[in-house]
Amino acid sequence: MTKLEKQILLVSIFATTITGILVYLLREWGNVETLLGPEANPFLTHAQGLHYLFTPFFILSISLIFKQHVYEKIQSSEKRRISGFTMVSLYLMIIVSGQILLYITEVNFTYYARYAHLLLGSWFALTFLRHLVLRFS
Amino acid sequence: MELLTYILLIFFSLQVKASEDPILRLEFFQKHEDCIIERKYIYLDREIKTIYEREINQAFESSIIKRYQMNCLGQISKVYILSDRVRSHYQTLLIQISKERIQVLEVLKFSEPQKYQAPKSWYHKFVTRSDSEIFNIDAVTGATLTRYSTMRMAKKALFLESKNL
Ligand code: HEM
Ligand code: HEM
Repeated sequence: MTKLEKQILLVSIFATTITGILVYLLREWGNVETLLGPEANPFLTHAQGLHYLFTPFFILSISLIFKQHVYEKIQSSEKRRISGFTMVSLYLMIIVSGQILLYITEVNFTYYARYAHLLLGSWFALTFLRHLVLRFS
Repeated sequence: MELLTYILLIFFSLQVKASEDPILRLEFFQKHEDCIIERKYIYLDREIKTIYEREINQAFESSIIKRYQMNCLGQISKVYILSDRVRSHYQTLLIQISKERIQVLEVLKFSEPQKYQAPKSWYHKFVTRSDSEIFNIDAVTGATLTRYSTMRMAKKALFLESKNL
């Protein structure tokens, strides 16, 4: 992969993960009490906006390297390090669960999708770190 | 934790007694000046929450329910002020119940974008309904989550009313 592709990858993965976790924190712990009852955190909308803004870059950055890096590495690598495979499957599941959160309105279903998405997202970020570290070993 | 909530509750009610309860300044209560309005907050213990979760299949967010009792020339009714998350933001409703039926359902606050709010006439469909008649309220295009949220709160108020807390 080129230097530019690598930079886009690092920035977009970092940004989607941070904004996603920010959405979670503000949503679960950021409520403000008002006279008439709770009110969502005023920054929640901005955090969601940023998350939605970065996700296309996240999707794009990985599709950019799909042929040259992912596909070829899977074909050629003689010692399999798994973390690459894990990321590819997580990548697909993150997109699916994210879309579910956007479009599905069934309440009990989105409740689980929310935690699945949070878990898959964090798992992806950690696996990515591991992928980068293992590169040197 | 429970003890702390009790203490806070007592503290809160003393505070409000000392000043005037701002909720009573809502237009709804101002309209009923001739009624005797009493503040009757409910503290929900774990047991009642569990029953609710089993019967209605939803989690209870708050342990303290804002409730008022109105006595209008002998006609007793309860007024619930409930909040619920629509998608990311909350809506707050005022629900008046007497004889296990909804008498008034008013939107006090709607914090999602305005386009997701259902029309007033739709909210009016809840009036005179009882618990078993909530499920078949008409759908509203573009406001599905608002519909669910409103039905949840209506169910919640009727549930609390039926338990005679
Ligand atoms: C800056 C980012 C990345 C760097 C520097 C990097 C580097 C590497 C290196 C050095 C290898 C081992 C090559 C070998 O053993 O022959 C590898 C393998 C692999 N990478 Fe990446 N990678 C990056 C991002 C990604 C991403 C985002 C994905 C997928 C979503 C991915 C998927 C894979 C796969 C599937 C393999 C082969 C299987 C494996 O070893 O697990 N890589 N990568
Ligand atoms: C590494 C990538 C990603 C990470 C770490 C991540 C993480 C998160 C987290 C932690 C949340 C908060 C969940 C909650 O509300 O409790 C979230 C929400 C969300 N994410 Fe992601 N996400 C990632 C990628 C994506 C992608 C690719 C999409 C779209 C296809 C997406 C769409 C969404 C949506 C729609 C929400 C719901 C926000 C809301 O509550 O309104 N995310 N994400």
